[in-house]
Amino acid sequence: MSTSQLLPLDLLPILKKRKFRTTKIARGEGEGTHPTKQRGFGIEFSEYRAYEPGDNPKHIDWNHFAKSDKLYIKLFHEEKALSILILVDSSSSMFTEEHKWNYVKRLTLALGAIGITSGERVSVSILQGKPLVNLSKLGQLVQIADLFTFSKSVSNHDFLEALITAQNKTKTPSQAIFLSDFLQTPETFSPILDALTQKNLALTGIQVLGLNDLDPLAGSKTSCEVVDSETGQKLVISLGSEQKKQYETLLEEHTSKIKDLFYKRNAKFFSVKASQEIEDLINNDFRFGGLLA
Amino acid sequence: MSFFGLIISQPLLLAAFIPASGIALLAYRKRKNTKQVVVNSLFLLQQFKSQLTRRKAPKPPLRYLWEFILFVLLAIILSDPKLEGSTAKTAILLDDSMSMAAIHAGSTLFQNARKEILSEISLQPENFDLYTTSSGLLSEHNPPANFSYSQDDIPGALEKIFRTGIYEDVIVYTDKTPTDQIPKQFSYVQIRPSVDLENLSIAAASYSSEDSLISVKMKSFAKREVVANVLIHNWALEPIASQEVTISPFAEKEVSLAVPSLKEGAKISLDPKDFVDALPNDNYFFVAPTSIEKVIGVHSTLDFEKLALKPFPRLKFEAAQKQKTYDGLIFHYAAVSQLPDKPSIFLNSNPPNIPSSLTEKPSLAYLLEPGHEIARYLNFRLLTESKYYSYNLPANSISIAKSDNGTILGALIDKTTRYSFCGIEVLPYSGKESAFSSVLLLNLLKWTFLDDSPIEALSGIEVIAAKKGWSFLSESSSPRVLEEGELIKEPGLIKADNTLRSLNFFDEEESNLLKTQTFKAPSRDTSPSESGKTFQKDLLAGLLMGFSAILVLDLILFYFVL
Repeated sequence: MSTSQLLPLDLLPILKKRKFRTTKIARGEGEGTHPTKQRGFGIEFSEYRAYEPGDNPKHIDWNHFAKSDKLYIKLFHEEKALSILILVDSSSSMFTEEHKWNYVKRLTLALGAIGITSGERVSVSILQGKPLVNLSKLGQLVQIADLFTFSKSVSNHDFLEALITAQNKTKTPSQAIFLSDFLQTPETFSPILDALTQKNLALTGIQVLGLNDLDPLAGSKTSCEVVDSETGQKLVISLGSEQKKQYETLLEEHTSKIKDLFYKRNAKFFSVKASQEIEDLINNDFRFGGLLA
Repeated sequence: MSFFGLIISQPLLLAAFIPASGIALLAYRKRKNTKQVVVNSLFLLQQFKSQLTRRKAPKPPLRYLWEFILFVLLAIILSDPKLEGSTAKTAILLDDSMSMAAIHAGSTLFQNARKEILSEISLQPENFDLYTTSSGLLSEHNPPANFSYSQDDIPGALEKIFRTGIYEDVIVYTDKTPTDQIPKQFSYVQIRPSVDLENLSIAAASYSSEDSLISVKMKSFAKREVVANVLIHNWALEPIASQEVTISPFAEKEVSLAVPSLKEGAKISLDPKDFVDALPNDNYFFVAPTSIEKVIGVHSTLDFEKLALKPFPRLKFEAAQKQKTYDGLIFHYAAVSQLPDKPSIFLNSNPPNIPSSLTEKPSLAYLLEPGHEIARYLNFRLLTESKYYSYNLPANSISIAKSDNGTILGALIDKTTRYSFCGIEVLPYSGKESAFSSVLLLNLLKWTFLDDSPIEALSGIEVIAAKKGWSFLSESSSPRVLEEGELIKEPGLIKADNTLRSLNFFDEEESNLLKTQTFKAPSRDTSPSESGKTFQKDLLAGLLMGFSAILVLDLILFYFVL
């Protein structure tokens, strides 16, 4: 599968205009556009230091010398590239709908493309024991597409363990983007988010909901037997219009609880419907939500 | 059939027990195979479910059992159950007409019907009352205690039964089809032989006084040749002639027998040899000599069954005259050379200059002049005869009733003299007595002989005078022995020569005076049987409620719990 099959070529110019925004001081590596905690000679001023023999005289602040007759060196935050880790939930619920899974794929490709074109280091992990893919060139996006073609039969795995493994394998990640439908109890996600944020990682959660998630019993007239995609648990229920409204409310409440989990950890959260255009998502939701600049 | 204290009147429907388990199993399997939907948010649906109910779903065998009970209840309800000991009563009306005397397989249709009835009521005889249309045939068979009889035809008997208001159901056993006489709302059991019965009958007979010959036309409905004796007796039942005849299968045969001069008429009988005649009643025929006699009374000339007469209710009985003399003539089976100068009635007779014919195929009578005096109080709708005299009347005459072949009842006023023509048999025949004849003849007499007194003001018709040894029974008086010559002034029963005769013979229904034959269920007062019926209704209501409750429970389980 080529990248263009998942990511339209006309989307690329739009992606190139965007770059990841971070409010935290990055822990990047290699030259980049984001200031780091490391002192160096970038654009953003950091502090003054007394001149020591051997320092490059061109970094002496002559204005300061004129006022104080002392030689000081002007130090700046060193600008380096961000290390972005994209984590994709690959539990069974993510591919009960083909459209939903394809949407997650395209979204991952788009985010990866934004990172690469803006000079960041992008790592993608499908949380199912697949090797971590590190990307630095657009041509490597195909590797992301390959990541998604794993067997869907493996559905139950230790989510937290896979996540920590992926995190450790990434060198000094500065930002993590977590794509999931978050359709498990909020308590399930607390330890996962704690693990992600403990290393001062800038975290963003993107919830992708498919049609089945929004209206799981569409087409069922009065009653049916529902089977959980992950646990296999069964339940016979009947639905009327009133019950459908109640479900919508419950889903909203659940999304709100997940959002709170992220906000409490100074993380961003986006809830996205798989029917929404990716271009619209990048230009508006992610841009105005502070993920992209 | 009895079942756990219930009388099941529709046992076949109870057979629903057998498929009930199958249907319940299918229904269970259908529900078990409910459509499956894979969802990602079961934990949300569980919350949603818990908002509705937290009942535990029963295990499948229990659900299956409930559904089975549901179908069993339905089967019991459909099988029309009654509790044993219920006092709801059923009336059985047994047609006692002569056609039921047809013999099949060694017994009459009447006997077959009786056997069937006794078998039907054997379980709970106290819940059945038996009625017949007359006492004739049943009285010969040791009637049970709860036996009643009337002198009605089937519609008349049905109405009387209905008027009692105590019966849940009425079942009629008859050889007639419901469209003949039985209103459709009644149940009926048609007693019919499974094979065609063989019959020999006298189709027609006539007496010629000029050459003293009696012509007899016979018809065979047998599959083989039949040998029979034609016997002729005079009025005193003395044999006067006989002849052996051989009749081919399904053929007609006509013979003429020389007889002495007859004044009172003769009885012709057909006696087949080695042949079981299914309907022996049509083996007799009465011929009357041509009579041109002065009318001296309403019925006396023709010697009708005076005992059968009951005054029309609106007539004043007390002022009735014993006899009334008219000045006129009645021509009965007579051919005359010229119209007499006196008012005359032509009964099955050939009047001069008026062509007439005897039609032998069964036909219906069509009333043309319903308002005419001769047709008054007569209903021609049910009048079906196998043969009519039909007249081709002149233009200045009135056709009152017609058959397919011409006028069968007509009137003619020539100058000031009145003539009436009647092709309808007015004599009692084949043992079937009908008031139609009496009313018709009375009307003919009144119109022809200019008895212009209106019916309301008519002082009366001939009142019955008791003969020696008669006793009388009526609704308003206790049984008593009548004095000889005593006038009987009210309807009732006369017992003469150990035979009961009804004075209600002139009943409205019997004489077809009612315009319709529909009966309305009378409003019922509280009667002893009412409690039994209420009890049965309660039983059905209880069963229905049980059925509904289980159905609702099942739906709740299916839609809200499971």
